Amino acid sequence: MYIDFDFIKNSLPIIVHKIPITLLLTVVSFVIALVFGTIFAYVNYKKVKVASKAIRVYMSIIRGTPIILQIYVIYNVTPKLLEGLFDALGIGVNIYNIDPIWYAFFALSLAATVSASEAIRAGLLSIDKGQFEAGLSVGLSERKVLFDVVFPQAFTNAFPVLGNVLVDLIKSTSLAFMMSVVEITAQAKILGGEVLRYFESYLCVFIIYIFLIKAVEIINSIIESRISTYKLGTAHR
Amino acid sequence: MKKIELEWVFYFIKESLPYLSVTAQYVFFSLIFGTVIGSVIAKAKMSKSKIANFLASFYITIVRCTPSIVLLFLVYFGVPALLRDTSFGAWLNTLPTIIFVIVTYSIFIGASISEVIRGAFQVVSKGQREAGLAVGMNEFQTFASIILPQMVKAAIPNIGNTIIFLFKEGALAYTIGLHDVLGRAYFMSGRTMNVHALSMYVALTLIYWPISLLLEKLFKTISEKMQYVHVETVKETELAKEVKAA
Repeated sequence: MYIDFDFIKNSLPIIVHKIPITLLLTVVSFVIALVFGTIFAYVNYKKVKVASKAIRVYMSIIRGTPIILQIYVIYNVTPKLLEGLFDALGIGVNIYNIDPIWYAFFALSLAATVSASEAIRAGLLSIDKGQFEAGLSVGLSERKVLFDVVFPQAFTNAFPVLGNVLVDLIKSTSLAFMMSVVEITAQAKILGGEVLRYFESYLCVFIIYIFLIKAVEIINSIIESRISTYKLGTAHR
Repeated sequence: MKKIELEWVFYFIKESLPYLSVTAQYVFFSLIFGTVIGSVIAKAKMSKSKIANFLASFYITIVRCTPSIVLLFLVYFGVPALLRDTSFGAWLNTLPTIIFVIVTYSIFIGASISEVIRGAFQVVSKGQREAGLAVGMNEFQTFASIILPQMVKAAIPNIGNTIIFLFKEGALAYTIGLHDVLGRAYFMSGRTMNVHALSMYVALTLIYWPISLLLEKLFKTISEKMQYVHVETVKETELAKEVKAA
């Protein structure tokens, strides 16, 4: 039993080199999750007839199935669907040339959308209905009330939970190797497999993840204490 | 890949549903060992010793910042590879895969369960322990018959979430070759060259989704059932009746 420090020294830079891919996966999926999460939360908040039922079912399915299943479904089913679509529309793009990272964005944002939407909905519910009415009564348009009055407060309230969603998302990006996206976990798997030094290679990613997520958590808490000033209005109630 | 065919969906459900017992095994044992680890960590976190406190916080931070799949790989591939020259390492290689899954998830949920236990402990007021001691019960009796039931009640919703988490996250064990529900379905799908993969996905969704919903419902009902009337309020109302009768 010995730990091969030379191996760690050589492979750590290669793995660190893949951190941008992990961050790219995280950021893009998070933005997608935020956009759709906000829309879904608003639809659910407004209780739009059919749409909010459909969204409920979607959220229930995503929450009730393992993420690995979602990833496999997206990775194996979407290319076939797209192929049929492209054939029908006569677009001459070879489906198998598409970078798998696009599927990864899609698959990872599925689950994140659900948790982001829950967080934002809770944020919306924490805003008094009176604010809506007050905004409308002073002559603001509904869009203006939404974007200038309600959303800033709702997002401030939802921020801590959204931070957790982000951290969960970083953790889920480690599953992207199943879609043949080479990020840090996949890189460690490849390097470890070459010379059967699994312990050392996984130790590297283990440490990288700890630093990465700790850093994100620290940034989150700094932002949280900053934006808590905007919360004063609601805190008084 | 063919279209969804009902008979194949049924075929996959029939093939993989018996392996729910494997899933249940790792959920159950991870929960048990996770609770043991969680209790130790919670105890350490609440103790006055600075070293124990630091170690517990360290453990929680480390585990919270790790994706479960990295921990799974570290336990399943890493540790046996590190110890391969020793007899212990050779023995590790003979163990069934599920042991590694249980070890991983026990470590993993140990951190979150410790937080659950700590939260539940803080729900019970300190005066209750002192009252128990004052009426002559010993420390263990006080804990077992006064504090623990209230802690369980407070922890039930979180325990339910942990079980649902384990049920879903445990499917990752497929990546290290465990035959649980998902692993079995993939194995059977591989036998037919993945021609019926779409049916398999439908079958798996039809297994996982209802069970998650059911578990959610179950724990909701349990926690509602446990909202028993507080002793004091019962006595007060009885007292009020007596007063009225008089």
